[in-house]
Amino acid sequence: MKRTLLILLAVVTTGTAHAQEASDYYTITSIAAPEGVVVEGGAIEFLPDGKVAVCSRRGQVWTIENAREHPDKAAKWTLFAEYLHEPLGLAWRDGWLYAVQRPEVTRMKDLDGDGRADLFESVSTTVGTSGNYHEYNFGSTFDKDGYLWSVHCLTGSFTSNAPFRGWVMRTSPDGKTTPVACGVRSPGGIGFNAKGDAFYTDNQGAWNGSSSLKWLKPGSFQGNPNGNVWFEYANGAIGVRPPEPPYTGEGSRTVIERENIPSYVPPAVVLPHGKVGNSPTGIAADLSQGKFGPFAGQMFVGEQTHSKIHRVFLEKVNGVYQGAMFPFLEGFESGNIAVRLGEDGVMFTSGSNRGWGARGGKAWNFERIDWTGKVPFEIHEMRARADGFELTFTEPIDKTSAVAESFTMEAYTYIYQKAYGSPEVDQVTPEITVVSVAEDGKSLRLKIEPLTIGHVHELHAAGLKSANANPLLHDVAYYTLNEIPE
Amino acid sequence: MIVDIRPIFSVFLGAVLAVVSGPSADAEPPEWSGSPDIAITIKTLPGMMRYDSAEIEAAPGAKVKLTLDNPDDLQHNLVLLKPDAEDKDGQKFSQEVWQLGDKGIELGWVPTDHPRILVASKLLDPESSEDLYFVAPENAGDYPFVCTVPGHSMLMKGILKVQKPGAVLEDLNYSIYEGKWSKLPDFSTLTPVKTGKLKDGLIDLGVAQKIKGPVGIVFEGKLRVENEEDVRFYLASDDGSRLIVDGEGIIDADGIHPVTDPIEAREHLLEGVHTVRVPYFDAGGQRGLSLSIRSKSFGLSVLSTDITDRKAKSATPKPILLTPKNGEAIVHRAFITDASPRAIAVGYPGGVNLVWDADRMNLVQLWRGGFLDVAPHWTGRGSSSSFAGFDRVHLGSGVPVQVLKSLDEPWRPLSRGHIKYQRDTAEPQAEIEFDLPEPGYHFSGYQLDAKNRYPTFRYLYNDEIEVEETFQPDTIDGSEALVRTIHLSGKVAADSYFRIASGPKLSTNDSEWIDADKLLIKLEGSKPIVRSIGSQSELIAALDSAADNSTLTITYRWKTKVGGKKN
Repeated sequence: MKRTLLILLAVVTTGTAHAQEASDYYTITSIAAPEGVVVEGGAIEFLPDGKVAVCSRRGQVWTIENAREHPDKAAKWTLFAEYLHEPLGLAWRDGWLYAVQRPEVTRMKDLDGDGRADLFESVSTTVGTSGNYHEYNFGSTFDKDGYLWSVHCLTGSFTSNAPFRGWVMRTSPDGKTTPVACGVRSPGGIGFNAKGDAFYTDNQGAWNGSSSLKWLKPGSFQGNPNGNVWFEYANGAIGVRPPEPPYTGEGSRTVIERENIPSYVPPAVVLPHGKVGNSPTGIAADLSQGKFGPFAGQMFVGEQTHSKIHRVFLEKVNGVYQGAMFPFLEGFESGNIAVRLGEDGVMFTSGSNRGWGARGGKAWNFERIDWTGKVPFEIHEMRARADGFELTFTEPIDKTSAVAESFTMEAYTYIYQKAYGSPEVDQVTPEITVVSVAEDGKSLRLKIEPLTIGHVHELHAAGLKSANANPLLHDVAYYTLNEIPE
Repeated sequence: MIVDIRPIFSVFLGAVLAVVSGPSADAEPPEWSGSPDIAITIKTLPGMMRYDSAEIEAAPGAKVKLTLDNPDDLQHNLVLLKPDAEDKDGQKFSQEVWQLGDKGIELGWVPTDHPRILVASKLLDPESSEDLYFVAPENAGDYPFVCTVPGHSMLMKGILKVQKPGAVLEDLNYSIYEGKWSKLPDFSTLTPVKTGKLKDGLIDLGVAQKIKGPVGIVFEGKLRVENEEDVRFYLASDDGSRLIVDGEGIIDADGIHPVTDPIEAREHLLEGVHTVRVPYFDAGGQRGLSLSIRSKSFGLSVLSTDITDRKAKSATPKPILLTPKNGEAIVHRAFITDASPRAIAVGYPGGVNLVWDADRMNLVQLWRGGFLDVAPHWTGRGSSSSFAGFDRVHLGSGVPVQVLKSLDEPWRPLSRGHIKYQRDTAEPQAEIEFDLPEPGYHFSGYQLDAKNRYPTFRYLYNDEIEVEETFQPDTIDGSEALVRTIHLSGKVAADSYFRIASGPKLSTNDSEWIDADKLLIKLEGSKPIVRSIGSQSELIAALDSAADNSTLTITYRWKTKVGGKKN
């Protein structure tokens, strides 16, 4: 045992000698706000004139010039609107800036050209509010068909006391709002993957053993039954009320309830609670085609408590989304809520620690993330295969390090229950075999025995090295296996 | 709430630090669990990510029963730590715990064998509590406590102050008087209905518990000062009180008022025994009386059982006042007391403020003076904004337009839905009641004018009639006033009425002004009708069903002049 430890230590030490720093690849730059201004960012949108809009939990909407230019160019802030009620969604369309706020979906326009909005139109009041602080409303940008998606938190951790609390709605270009999914607990953000399918993040708690990224398949039930009472008011928009998951003391498993509840869609990517974060938030797909580095087409997910941003690789297997979460960046100044990535390859995040503490330590942040042009050595994709996983890499690997001893894996799941959260349960330690390594050293196949449906497969690749003898910048991946491909 | 944070004993245990309850939830309560020296309750504040106490106290060696009560909807714990000069508020320790990751989850975020932990609760689920028992350390000092759930400690933290018990009042006697006063009377000329002695040496309004309604009490005791020194006194009460030391009035908190921030006074006291006399009266309603002292040798000592003022002070965020500036109105969407969650508050320059309800499409409240304190809204997870002004009047909360077959027909109530459903709560089958959209009404939004950013509210009535409301602040005879114009673009049905006010006592006299509580209301464009339905009175106006459009102009003014609050 001692011997193993020594060897491990040696590996780590060698690694440190060539240590990569995340900041070699991505820089985080704080964008200074005007003096006295508090920007508790709830959502960020890009405007057609090149400005960046950010709305704050305190109700202000700022438009910022030069935020997307060279970071050295001073940003110019204009107060577009203020005194909205905790807006957590911002979307631009046809000359209007839409905000999803507590009482309604609102759209705003500056009629007299002084940079401040004068006209505030109520677009949708379909979702009720009981006046509880917990009833957060998050909004997306417009989707490819012109719909604005909004996701509505329950009244508390356990109740739905106003119409459509715990539901997801879609507002059409002509202002009609219809339910699109149910079963939400406590969302932190909503957005789209590169393909344009909608996703949201949901926080650990009742019926959520862990926080996760969830796929908003139209008509789906997302797992928390407390809001299902509103089927009576949904006019069949998403079919009939699904059967309830069991309320019994010992709880169930998502993989079991998928059989019992046809419309239930399991979490696409579990973000293991406590390990990688506590409170996932905003979602951004990388549509920059390489301007933001090697992860084009993948997704990024904000993390409020740990002041981080995760990276997510998604794939659809047997009609269900699943995939892997990788650590990406940490060290933000406050609790990231909004995350937005432009086609120009500039990412922004903003948030706060108000009421929900965050590692960053500052009350709020507005920060910009740029790719330095250097490619970090990372697991690029992790795909499920019939007998294991296929990993691809951003850099060719040292083939001699592609041995079973370089990897470890634990698989586990969570109890699906009405109680708050869940420990990791049903642990499995599979055996790992390296089946093959690609000629170009950019991918390899792992055989995993057994693969367990419904489990997070947590892979550590501490021993793997690049052809340049670097260890992975992040040597861990968490793959949620909902389906096994043929 | 802390019931009593003072040791109720004065015997020191000579033992060194003894922790009798480890972090394990299975630890047996000690033999003395039924009779601790001090019982402290710390609550989590729902939605605030805070404990309700940032500072608690215990004497060295005191047997402490600490109850952690978690009414919040998140899991929390409480870990009491040994002091560390490098980590005075336990943040470093918390960071260390977070780094445990997986292991931390298993441990309920309490690394039991960590040398800094004195005592720790288990990870409490929402709506649960736990009693912890421990003996306070012998060494005086500040012992930090934190919630170690990742992300919580930055806000969920506090200090256990271990210090020698402070001063008490010796030979503390009380005399109770019956009578109704608006200022402290000369109690020496009155005959008490009851007298007695307080053994704990703490001023306690509980002595007059049985007397409901107005009461007067005089407390008199002795304060022993070992070394000549400066002593600060803090007095707060509801209603009036005074602090008299050695026959000399030190603090005057006389008159009828709620508990305010404590009034402070400094006194140089010589070595020896000093008399402390506190006359107090309550004219009705809530009672409160707290007296504290602070000095080098006493530390901070509370000389009363009532410490509500100090608690209230530590839990209330600093005000953040919204004040209309540059001649522009503020149109603020927020939760507002006594209005629906979709209400909109508007503050105009000049001190006229209103709430227009975007659920009911009607003006529901008016007040004058300051606009809003949004600290409760912009602090923690956010609750209702507080009114910063005065003379607030409710104008009712119904929908604005209705067809009445006769003037006896009541205004219809708001649309409410009722539903029963299986929930995860203690009352799974409880019925919930909720707002439903008012049929035919659709809120369209508001527009701010270019000059003053005064809002025009717009909505649809009967699914098709566009209604616009504008407001213009004004001054009439030196009093704040507001002119409201309502324009309906479309024909209304026969017997349609607009409701202007309901609830306040309304009365008409010969003047054009209708008397409405603190307001006077004048109507143009229709004849005002004041009617009584049950105990309610209502001011309504008939709309002209023959006209293509209707316009009503309503002027509201306060009866008393600006600055005439007390009149």
